[in-house]
Amino acid sequence: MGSPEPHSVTRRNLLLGAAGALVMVGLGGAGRFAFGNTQLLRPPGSQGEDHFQATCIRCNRCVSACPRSALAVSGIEEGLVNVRTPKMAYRRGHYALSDAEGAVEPGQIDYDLGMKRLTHAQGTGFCDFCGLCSKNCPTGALNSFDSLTQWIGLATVFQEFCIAFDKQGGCRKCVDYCPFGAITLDESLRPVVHPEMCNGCGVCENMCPSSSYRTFKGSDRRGINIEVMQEGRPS
Amino acid sequence: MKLSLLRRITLVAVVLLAVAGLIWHLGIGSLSSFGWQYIASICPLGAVEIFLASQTIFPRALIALLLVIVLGVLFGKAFCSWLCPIPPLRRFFIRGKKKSTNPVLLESTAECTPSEGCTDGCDSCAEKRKKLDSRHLVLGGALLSTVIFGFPVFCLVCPVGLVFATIIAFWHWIGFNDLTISLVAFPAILLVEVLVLRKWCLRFCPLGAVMSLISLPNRFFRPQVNTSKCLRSQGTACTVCVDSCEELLDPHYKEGMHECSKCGLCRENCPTQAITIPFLPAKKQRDVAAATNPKLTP
Repeated sequence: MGSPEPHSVTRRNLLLGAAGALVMVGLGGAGRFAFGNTQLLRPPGSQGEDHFQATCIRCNRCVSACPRSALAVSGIEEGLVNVRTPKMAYRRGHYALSDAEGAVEPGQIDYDLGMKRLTHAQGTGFCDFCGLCSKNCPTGALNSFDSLTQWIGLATVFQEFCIAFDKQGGCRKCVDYCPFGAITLDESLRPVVHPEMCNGCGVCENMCPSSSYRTFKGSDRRGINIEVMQEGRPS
Repeated sequence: MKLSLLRRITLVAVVLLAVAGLIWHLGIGSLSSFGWQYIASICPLGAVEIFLASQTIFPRALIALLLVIVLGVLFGKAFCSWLCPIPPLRRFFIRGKKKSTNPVLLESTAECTPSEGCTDGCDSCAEKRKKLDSRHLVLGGALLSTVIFGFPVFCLVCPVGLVFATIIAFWHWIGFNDLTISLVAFPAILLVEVLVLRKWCLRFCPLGAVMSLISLPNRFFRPQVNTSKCLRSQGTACTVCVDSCEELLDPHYKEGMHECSKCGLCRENCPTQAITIPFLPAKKQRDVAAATNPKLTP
């Protein structure tokens, strides 16, 4: 069984340890500089990307806790530094409107009704700001989140895949389903997002049918996507 | 009940709890942080890493870390044999190299018969583990890297984390058709660590290094040898306890016993049942040994 004293500080041991330490330093550098560039949509309550990367211990309790299954584990394809960190996943299952709650007129600001609509809805794959991810975060990576003034990201229409841009009046799903009425149709019946009313709950992306009707090649984007926003939400 | 069976049940229970938490959205988490909402444990290495990376002490993480330190002082490095999924994974993939635990009693051929009083560096019996070894160097490298680059570096390749990340990836594949590279990448990194770095636990694991440091003050649940029963007192150079120890310890010595992971294999395999694992260390063990060991009486 090799050397009789594998645990005393022999030269071999020292070399192995030093090699391991060097690998760790190299891994840190590779993570920071080589492939760590993808901007990911973080769970509500993250305090900026640098802070999030520094404080997330990749325990995935938020992923496990999310009652809407709207969190996924990032893989190596999202960048080495992001491995095992949580990201929003708005393509899972679907949002089901609860019809009892009434509707918010697109363009009309009724935040309370919007939240009621969102939290009473059935289904998975969107964020209803329940706060369980931050309650279960053992570190300071996720803090409390105010869905009235903060946002996870901003809904952004991707014209190439949006059905309404391809065929006038072809689709208005995002307009109808947005709980906050943050999306309206312009005169050409194309969706327009009002950033001051959007908090990135993901219902529009979840409901967007473009991956069934338009993106024949297959794509990780839809006609409307929640995009990462660095600057604060306009009020 | 044998401790080895109990350990297996514990590990399976932990994995099942983590899976149940995932399925029913309980947020129980995994070994990196186990708990219910605000009350949770935390990976001690992860906690130190985020303190260094963000240069901030987070109260929640600190409280969880203190809890883990208390557990470490109480139970020593028990995490390594009771909760960590890596040793069973290694045993699953690396078969046939299992150490013989048969009570094959070797006749004393060595010059020096291992005994309680032996403290010199005789190679045949000295299995003393120093307080610091290569794992602590890896740990130092990981912490240094964390300070320089500002994110918890070891978490990226942590085998314990990768086990649970693989489970989550599989669950999301089954549940939501999320077919990602992670399904292959996570187990691949894991297997490299387990199969290529065969002595991961003994030589590299920085988490084990943290656990060994936390366990330094631990005095509970240490294996105690009843030297009057031990075959060594009859002049037989029996090393069954040493050979069955995953941590390469000799329960006859106090040195290095903070590395004991309380697996109980020495107790199970001892041909004369001379080893017990009491909560508190027995007093005056040495005197009893000296009185009954003819080799030690001058």
